[in-house]
Amino acid sequence: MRNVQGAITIRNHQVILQGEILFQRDQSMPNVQFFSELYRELKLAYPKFFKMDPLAKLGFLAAELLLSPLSAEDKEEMKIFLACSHSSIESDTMFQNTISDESDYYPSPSLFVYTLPNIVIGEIAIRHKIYGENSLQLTSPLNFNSIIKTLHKQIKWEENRYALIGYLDYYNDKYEAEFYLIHS
Amino acid sequence: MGHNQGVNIVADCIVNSLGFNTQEVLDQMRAGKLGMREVKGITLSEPTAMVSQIDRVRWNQIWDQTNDMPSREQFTFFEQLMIFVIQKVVDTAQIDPKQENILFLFSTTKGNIELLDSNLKHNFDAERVHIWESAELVTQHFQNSNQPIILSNACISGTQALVLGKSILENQPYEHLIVVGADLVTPFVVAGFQSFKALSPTPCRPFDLNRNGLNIGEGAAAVVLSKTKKGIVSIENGAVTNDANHISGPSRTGEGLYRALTKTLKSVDLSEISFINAHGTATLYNDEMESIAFRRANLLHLPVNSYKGYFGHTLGAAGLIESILSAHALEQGIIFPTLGFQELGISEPLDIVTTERNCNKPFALKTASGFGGCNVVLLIKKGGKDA
Repeated sequence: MRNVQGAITIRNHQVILQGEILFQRDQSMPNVQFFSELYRELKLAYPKFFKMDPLAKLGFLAAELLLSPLSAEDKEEMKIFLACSHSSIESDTMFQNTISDESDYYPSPSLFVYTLPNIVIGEIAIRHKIYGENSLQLTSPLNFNSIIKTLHKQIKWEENRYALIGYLDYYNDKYEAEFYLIHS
Repeated sequence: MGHNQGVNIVADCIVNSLGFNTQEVLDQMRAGKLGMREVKGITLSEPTAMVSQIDRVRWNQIWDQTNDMPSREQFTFFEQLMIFVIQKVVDTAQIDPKQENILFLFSTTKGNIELLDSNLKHNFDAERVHIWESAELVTQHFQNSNQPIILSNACISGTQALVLGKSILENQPYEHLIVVGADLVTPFVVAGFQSFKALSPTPCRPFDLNRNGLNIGEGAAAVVLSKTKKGIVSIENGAVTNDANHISGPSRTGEGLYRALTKTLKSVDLSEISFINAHGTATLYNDEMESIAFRRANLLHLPVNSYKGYFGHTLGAAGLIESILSAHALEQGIIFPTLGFQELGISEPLDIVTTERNCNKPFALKTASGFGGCNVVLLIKKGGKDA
């Protein structure tokens, strides 16, 4: 891929930023605890983080590490093109459990909003004040290797613009994120 | 590809509560028909909901009367809808969906989400709840071997698919794109919007003083986008933005929509625009936000309508269905009224269309906004471009 300025992967409780291990924890740790520990390691003061579903937390953290060196001007018109496989299935399943039983019926708007996979883009956009083009696409997990190239091809480049491109997924207690920062 | 051929809509098909093809839907709209009905027992908390549904009995008859369709039982209703509208558009456009230079582009928010409900009896593999599974089954049915693109960007997906589709055709070696959008009325979605207190118990009233929420609708649509065939309209321009403000509430200043309008209209003579087909969901905040964005973009002189009053909010399919209807309105030189609207209930003096108008200007705008703060604007032009 052309013009890659930064790369991050988060998987197996290990964060690799620009090719180097930045943070890791034992794989026996529950995922959400791992996300919280990474949040604390980054010394972020952003309490909204704790309201997010696991998919949004994962994308938020990956974006945080890649985008923190950029200025507000760099970020304002940035493009965000992300893909995932299992959509918002984690929140979908939780929400379904709140509406299946008449004696135990408690759907909440704060959970329902996370039953859309693009909410992670909204969270990143709010955090970094990014107003640019954004797109959330779904793809088979078998297509993992080619989806980032596919997203890269879809971007219409304008001069001196940044783009955040990546894949993230959260399903059945397994997660992964692989994000790239691209500059035109 | 350096040569500027234009990207045209060369075939289209809509299925929703008003009809089983685009012409039926257009005819029903011109007759002022309403697709919403009060339906009992969709969710456990409310006795009824006002929704816009496809008549399943009629659907089964129509499917069975249509030539060359696979057995219905192999596919969920969501997949059946997509297969049906795709078959119609490939027949109309006379293209062979197996060809390597054809790509499928899907847009949906919830796909087969009903399969998550353990109370629902069905014979489908649970994996079908994953949208890529459904999309790949559909592309396999049409024997197309390209990896399909699947957009799931909340309620802008259908319109965004056309913006993305234009860009793919201009920059990649495909000749035609089959763009498909579909979403269903499900207990999942209705319960979710009920929890937001966003649903109106009566037919929705976009931009009206007494509007009190949206109606969930279901529907499917497909178009063939082509860079070699002529069509009723061409996709001229488009932009997607984010509000960077709130994950479920529209921006108070209409920032994202305003920015998308500015980008789309950069080199367009505003006096050449026939109408804006707005998102117009009939929630308090959405319609107000749109009015502010239109004022900021200096568009208060343009006629504005919303189709949500005819067939509700069809979610990930909405933008595609409404773009197709706007394309036909533009081609026929008419502007649809906004069913349900009576008295202006937004802070900006928009020209909301209340009775059908005639207008032969060449351009129309379609806008949409969604959860996650996303916004899209699409500019279409009458007549298509010479291929």
